[in-house]
Amino acid sequence: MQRILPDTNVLLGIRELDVLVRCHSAEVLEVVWCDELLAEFERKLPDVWGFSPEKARDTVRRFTAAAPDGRITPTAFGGLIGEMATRLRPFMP
Amino acid sequence: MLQLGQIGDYSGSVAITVHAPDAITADHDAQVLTEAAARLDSEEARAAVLRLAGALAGTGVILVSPDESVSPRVAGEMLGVSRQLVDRMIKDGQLPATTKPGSAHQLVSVEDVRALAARRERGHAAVDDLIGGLLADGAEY
Repeated sequence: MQRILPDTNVLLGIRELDVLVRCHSAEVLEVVWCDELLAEFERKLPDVWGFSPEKARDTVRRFTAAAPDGRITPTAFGGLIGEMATRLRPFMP
Repeated sequence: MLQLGQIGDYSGSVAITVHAPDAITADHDAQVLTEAAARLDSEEARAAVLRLAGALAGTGVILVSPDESVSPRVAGEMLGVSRQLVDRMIKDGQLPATTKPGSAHQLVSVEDVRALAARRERGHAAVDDLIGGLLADGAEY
């Protein structure tokens, strides 16, 4: 199964997020995530959707519940993360 | 699919899976249950089995015992997915499969299928919770 590490801006587009997590749920692809990605997701949620910090935290919790086995570490997937032109680069090992 | 001779094996706990689209199998099982009901001495038991057979007819429900094994095709019916996806789940290790000595045919335990179905159901619910929660919190689709 294809593994997908989405960029934060993908998570912040609800249509894209909806398609992504439903494909994950239907086992069409496997969504993986790392702590740094979700930290940025949580930071951006108040700006993009006007969420309170509490709602942003809850959204991140629900996202991880939707892909509970998807946690990866930059060490294990450093090469993959390095290919992303995102703000995750500073978190690279 | 139930056979009349198997009815005796179903005296213990019975799993009823409602995702199977195979109405032909369900109708067959309903007929077998109806025939089995006629053999029962207890009027109460007979009525219960007939109610079950009536509920089963045409619904696509299949009956399996939790301690038996089924083919990948039946596992797919129980899960509501294609046989091809079941094969992939077996290959990926999500669904353990065994083969009988001297046979190439794979079998999966009903218990494992039910556990996988429960995991998939939890996954679907979590996705609904995420997207529904975002919309309820004001995110625009």
